Amino acid sequence: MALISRRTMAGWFGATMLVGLLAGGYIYNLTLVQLGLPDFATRVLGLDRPDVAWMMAGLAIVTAASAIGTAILMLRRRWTTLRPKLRLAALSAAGQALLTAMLGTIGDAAGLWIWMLVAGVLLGLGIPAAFGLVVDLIPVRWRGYAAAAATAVAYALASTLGGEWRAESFVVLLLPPMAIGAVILLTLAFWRLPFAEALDQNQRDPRFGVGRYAGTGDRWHLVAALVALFAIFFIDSFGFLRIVETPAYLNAAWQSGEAGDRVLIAGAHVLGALVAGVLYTHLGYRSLLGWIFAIFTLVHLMYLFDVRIMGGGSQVLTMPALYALGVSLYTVVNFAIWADLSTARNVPLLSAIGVAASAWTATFLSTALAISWNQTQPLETHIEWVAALAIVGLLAVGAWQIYGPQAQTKRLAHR
Amino acid sequence: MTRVLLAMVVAMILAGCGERGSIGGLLVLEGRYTIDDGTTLAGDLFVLDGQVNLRPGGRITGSAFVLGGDVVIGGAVDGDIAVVGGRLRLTDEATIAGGLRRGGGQVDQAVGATVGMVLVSPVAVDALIGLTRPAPEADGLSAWLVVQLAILALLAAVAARVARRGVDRMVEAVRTQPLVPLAVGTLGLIVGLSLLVFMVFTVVLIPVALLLALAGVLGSALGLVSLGILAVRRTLGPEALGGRPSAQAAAGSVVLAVGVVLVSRIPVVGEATVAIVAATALGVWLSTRFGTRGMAVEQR
Repeated sequence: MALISRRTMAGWFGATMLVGLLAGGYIYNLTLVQLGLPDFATRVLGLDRPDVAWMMAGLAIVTAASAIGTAILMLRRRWTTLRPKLRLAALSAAGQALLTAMLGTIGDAAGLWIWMLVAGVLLGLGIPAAFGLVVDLIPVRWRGYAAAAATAVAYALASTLGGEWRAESFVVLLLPPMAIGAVILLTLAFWRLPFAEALDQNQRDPRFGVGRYAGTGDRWHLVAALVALFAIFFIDSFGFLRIVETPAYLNAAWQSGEAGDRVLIAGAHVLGALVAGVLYTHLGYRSLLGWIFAIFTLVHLMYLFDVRIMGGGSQVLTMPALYALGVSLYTVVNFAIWADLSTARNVPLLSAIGVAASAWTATFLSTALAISWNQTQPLETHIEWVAALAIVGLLAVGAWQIYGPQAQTKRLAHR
Repeated sequence: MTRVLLAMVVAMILAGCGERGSIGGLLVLEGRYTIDDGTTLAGDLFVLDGQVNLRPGGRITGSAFVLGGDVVIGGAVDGDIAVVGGRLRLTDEATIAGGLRRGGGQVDQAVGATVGMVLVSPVAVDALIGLTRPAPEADGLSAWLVVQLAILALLAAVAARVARRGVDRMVEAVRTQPLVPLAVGTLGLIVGLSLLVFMVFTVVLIPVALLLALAGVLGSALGLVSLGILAVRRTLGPEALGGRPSAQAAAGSVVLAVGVVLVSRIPVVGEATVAIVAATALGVWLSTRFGTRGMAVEQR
């Protein structure tokens, strides 16, 4: 123990905390926000699907605006060091925990609208802060593996959760860890603890503070990442939300009564995260985009084949396991890429633009569209469109790999 | 020119897969299928699992191969029926123009069923069944195992000599970045196997799937040769066995094969080891673009 320096211990503690923060935030987003809110609105409040679709779109817009506004405020006030970011993240986490506890008291549409607006503001507050902490707590060379750890933890827990996908169930499951996490974050943020002092200077070290794609000639990486991740989030969410609305698919996989089925899906998520961590670290994000679109194309064609030939509702676990693999690959990219496109100075803004414009906007727009199509389009048509979008994405990535601008990062060829 | 030839070969194979081609039929992996009265299945029927019911009045123009599952024949089959596994029931209305060949599984034949030829159990089917039977436990290295290892060593040496540059690139790739081939191979195995199964489902693409599977197996074999060479160089030094890659490949492949076989007997750890070796072998072949280029690693 004496051989481990205080700085090293602080580094491990900080990295572990960030992995926990990212994983926790992602689980909250995957469960309560994406699945729980539509369920609460339709089942408990009796709202129509189109109204819920509008609400989800509104939440996306507010979250995106809040994230970018917070990032601009952080740059103007120079809240780009460790402690201000930690405080904003802590406030966001505490606010989310409070909102989660209050969800059950809402009794009408107006109350839910207000809840969603406040949630959007708080989520937006947390995005540039949490993603901005990456440049303080994770060295550039380890970001792929840290992102893999956060992804593996998030999906392993989210996939093995038992019970029904109901808002009340999510509140019961999420509230205790959220409350504990918020208390820890508030303590770390507002008390002067030695570990924070040790980590405060990390971002001045180029090994932390300058991302691998943050060179002056690398701006096209930002555009590429924005477009690619928007497309990936949209395709995933658009397809997944319809698939899980099909009881036969849902009950045979993500909501299977057999724990082994859910563990298999969780295993696919963990495997995907580890593979993505290695590939992101050594080959960069571009190598992963092709795999992601290829997997989404294959899995949606499999679902389409199943719907057309078998009539839908196949019990085969290959499809959800492949789906899980693809989702983990892109989640690792999403966790690592925004800090790697940034320096310590601009990481809040680029993270906010990236996460808000690609992840949140795409997810909630596709959620709104999926809810709307669920009422008007048959499953086959829906999956046809998702598969078509995935194929277009795969072709676009292929063309970009061949004809796109060459990476500034040099490639070392072993011949 | 090579690409044009490859495209022509694939096109010719695909040309034989259509409705009027020489290859056609139905592959059943799961679920229930019924061929009703008045319905004709053009081509052969392959049943690996699931249930198939050929009702009276229904017809199969080719042969039926029962490898598993539950098959009821109450209609007409123009070709043979071969039963290797699963269960076959011939009802009184069944009419088999060819022969009923049984190499395994269970056959229930109604008295009124018409079979064109005497029930036989051909040597070929018996040999096929023999291949699928578990190998008897051997005490120590049997003579057959020694012969197999000698053949393996010879093939590895030949591969290292014939595809020397490609193998060199793969050795270098797995030496410098062993995790990358493992990761690429893991994705390649999962996605590749899913794609192959998906292609087999279409029936039309079975020949293409077989070609792809064969390419994958050959590529993985080259990957295994490179892993063997690296194992020798890591343990005995780069100049071991005179520094000749073919000798290193022969020795390394044998050591690798024996090691994998021994480790595979350990539950869980053994299976994981086999999976890691297989994924790395395939991955190093894929990440060097089939041995034609060095592995591209992104650097800052």
